[in-house]
This record gives sequence, structure tokens and C-alpha cells, in this order.
Amino acid sequence: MGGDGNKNTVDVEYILNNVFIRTRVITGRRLIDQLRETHGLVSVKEGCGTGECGACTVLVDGKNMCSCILLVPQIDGKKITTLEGITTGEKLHALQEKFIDEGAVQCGYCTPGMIMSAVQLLSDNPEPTEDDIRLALSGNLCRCTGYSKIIRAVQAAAESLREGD
Amino acid sequence: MTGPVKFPPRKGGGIDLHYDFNPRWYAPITVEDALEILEDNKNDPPTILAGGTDLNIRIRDSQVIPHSILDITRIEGLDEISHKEWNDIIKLPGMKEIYDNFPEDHSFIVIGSAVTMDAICRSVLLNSYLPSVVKAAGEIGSPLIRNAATIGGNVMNASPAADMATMLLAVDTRAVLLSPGGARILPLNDLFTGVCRTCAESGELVAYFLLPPPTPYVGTGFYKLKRREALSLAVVNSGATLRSDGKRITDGSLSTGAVAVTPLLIDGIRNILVSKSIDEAEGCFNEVAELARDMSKPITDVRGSKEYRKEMVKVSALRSLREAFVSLKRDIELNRTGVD
Repeated sequence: MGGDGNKNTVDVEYILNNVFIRTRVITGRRLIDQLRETHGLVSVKEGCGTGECGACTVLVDGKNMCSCILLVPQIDGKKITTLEGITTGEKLHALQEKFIDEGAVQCGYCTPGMIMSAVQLLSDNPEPTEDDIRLALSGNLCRCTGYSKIIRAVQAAAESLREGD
Repeated sequence: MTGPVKFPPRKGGGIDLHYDFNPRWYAPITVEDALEILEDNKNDPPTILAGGTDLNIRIRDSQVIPHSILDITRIEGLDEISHKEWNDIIKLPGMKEIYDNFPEDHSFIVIGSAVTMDAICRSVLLNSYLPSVVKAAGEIGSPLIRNAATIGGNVMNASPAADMATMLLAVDTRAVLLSPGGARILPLNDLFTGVCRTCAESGELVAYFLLPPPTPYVGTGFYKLKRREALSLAVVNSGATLRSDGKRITDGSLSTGAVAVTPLLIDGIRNILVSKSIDEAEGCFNEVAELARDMSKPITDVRGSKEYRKEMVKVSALRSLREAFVSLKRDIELNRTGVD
């Protein structure tokens, strides 16, 4: 807590994609703005801005949440993972690979959010049924693909992760 | 991770608010600290944030511009679900003095107000004993919302359509309102006073919800009529509880939401159902559901006309009652007499 002229700011610490960050922010700053504008993590998309479309999905302490309806002080001390943080080095994550293989991407705007929700699903449940997948992705809207290919991609990724690929 | 990217400033629209919107921020970790903050600022109380899935949207739309925010999600003990004896409940943080005459000697299932909907869905205790509370939690928003949204937020937001509030009403939940002096314990039905209004005073913090334990035999049901599967608000929702001594119905309650200014508790169901035998009870459900229909005062909005809603109150009430009845009969068959 502190005063910065007329602005109320707050010191926050968080681990962003395995990097420790300590910074001071204006208390009303949304997490999505912090991620896109301060950290340049532009996989985090703003769709509706009201928590309905899921394009801005990130993991907060391993739980998928909409970064457009979180204020930065709410994530103080937590671990944030965006799409940029699910891979190491050059190799794509199995989910990214399977989204490409299955053609689960058309305009691509929903894809980062879809993948982040799928990451949480697969860490919770390595063998999801189709219903599990549909439920887990029910907060992520796609207006292009009709979902079938996305669901197939998640199934394929689950299979490949189980095989330790 | 790539380095910082310089973006041009955005122009116009409500979103720019976020560059100027900077409330004072309080994030206490104990109930005592939270109460002290409320006491220190009682002339200008902070807006309480418990997940923010609703508040942050209203801030974005400039419907509310809080000058200060009290984030209660970091308070120890407010994120727990447990089964406690009354003697332990009065030792919970903040329960210094209980204002109301509340002579309860039995136990309660205690849910802290910062418990998320996702935590309710995963709770073993609630899944085994009050599955309809879990069902109601699972009907809210989407998985993304349920990971952040809390029971305290759902109730204190006091939306007439709130699924969790409607179900909690049906299981005879009491809310514990803490203030620096002590605690008020209110039946949920007395808490709601209007659309998005409660009788909680500024400076009071809703810290716990007390749910009567499922003893001796109990069945609960919940039904939500909605226009699509995920991320939908209820056209009509309904919760039901039936209690029995094994032979006769000893107590019952029914609630319905989205059809009045507050979630509605249907008084009069007791007069119809209590002391009916188990076999007779089912035959009375129609009468009970018609009572609910007659008590409802829905309005017409994007989700349905008032005429349609009124008819659907009956359907929704019947479905939740039947679900409760099936669950009650199973409870009796299994001879489950309470929380293990």
C-alpha cells in the first residue's frame, strides 16, 4: 500500500511464466493489461472483457481464470502462467502441436485461451472423456471451428502426453 | 518470455477508466484486521471484493467506482469448508459476542465466504451430504468463473437469479455477519431486502455460512432452467429440501429464484408436507409447486416473459422437489443418519 501522488499504488510480487516479478502497479490495473502491455505477453487476448468468452484465459496458481476480470493486486503472491509459459525452448507443447495437426485453429483468437483451459484440464485429469473436455472448455468460446476439431485436438494431446511424448 | 512491448495509448471507451481507476487497496489476512479496517473506515466503508467476477465487470462498465476495496480472499479460515460443533463455531475468528439469541446445540456445516464455487464442487463433505449445493455451484458461469467466484460474492451480490443463494435458502442457511463488536447470525431469507440489496450494514463482513447438517434423513434438489448450457443466468431456478424421521416428512423447504426481487422462500410448504407419510408426500408436490407459482412475481426480460416464467416456476419447483424426494428415499434406504 502506498501513495503515489493522487494514485493509489500497491507493491506486488508474482511468478510469471517461472520468472519472479516484483513491481508497483496502480491498484485498478487489470491483469490482462499488465500481461499484454507491461510484459508483452500478447497471447492473452481481450474478447468480451467481461469473463464470458475466455480469450484472456491464464492460469493463476494452476487454475484457469479470465485475466480481464482480475485486478493485479488480486494476484499478488501467485503464480501466473500464460501460453508463452507452457513451453520450454523451441519445442511446442503437445496441445499446440495437436491444435495444428487437427486444424483446430481458424482465426486463432480463441486458441491461446482454449489451450490454457485444456492445460488445466489435462493436469487435473490426464484421461478426459469427450464430456469432460466439453465441460472444461465451456467457458471458452470459438465462433469459427464448431468445436469438434478442438475437442479432437485435446483428445489427441491427452493421448500423446500419456505416452510421454 | 519476450521483453516489454511499447503500445500506443488506447483511445476512448470505458476501458480507459482503468488507467485512472485506482482505489485504496486492503488485503488483510486475518478476520480481526479486516474488521479493524471496516471500523477505521466506517464513514466511508470500502467495497468488499470476494473474487471479483461481478464487481470487476461493474467497475469496468463504470456502474460502481469504489474509492477503496477490501479483498477478503486472503483472510485465513474464510476459504474453508468444515463440519463443526456449535462449541467450535463460536470460537471461530471474529465471533467474540453473538448478538442474536441463537440457542443451537447441534452442529453445522460451515462454509467460509471466500470459498470458491470450484472448491464447493470439489468438496467431499458437500458432495456426500448436500449434493444439490454442489450442483448449484456447478451451474454458475463457466469453469473460468467458478475458479474465481465465491459463495460470499454470490450471496452478497444479492442478485434475484443467484443460483447459490437460491439453493442455500432452500437448505435453511444462516449467514454470520461480523462487525468489530461481535456477530449477527441471520437466516438467509432475512438477509435479502431487494434487487442487489441486503440488510448487511456497511462495516459488517459476511464471514461464514452455516448449513444445517443432513440429519437424520434429508434429501435436496436443485433445478435451473436456462437458455444454454454454460455461462447462462437462470430463467427460473429452484431448490428444495425434504427432511424425514424415516416414516414421515418432518420438515421441508422450497426456494425459487429469478422470479421476484429476491430469491424467494416458499412459506407454506411446511403446512402442506409436514407429517405426511413418505408415500403420501409425492402426491402433494403439485400443490406445493402451484403455491410457488402463485407466490412468484416475475418480470419480462431477455430471458423470458413473466407469463412463461410463472408457469416455469411450477415446473422447476416440481423437478427440484422430485430430485429431493429421490435423494431422501435413498438416504432412508442407506440409513444415513448424519455426517460421519
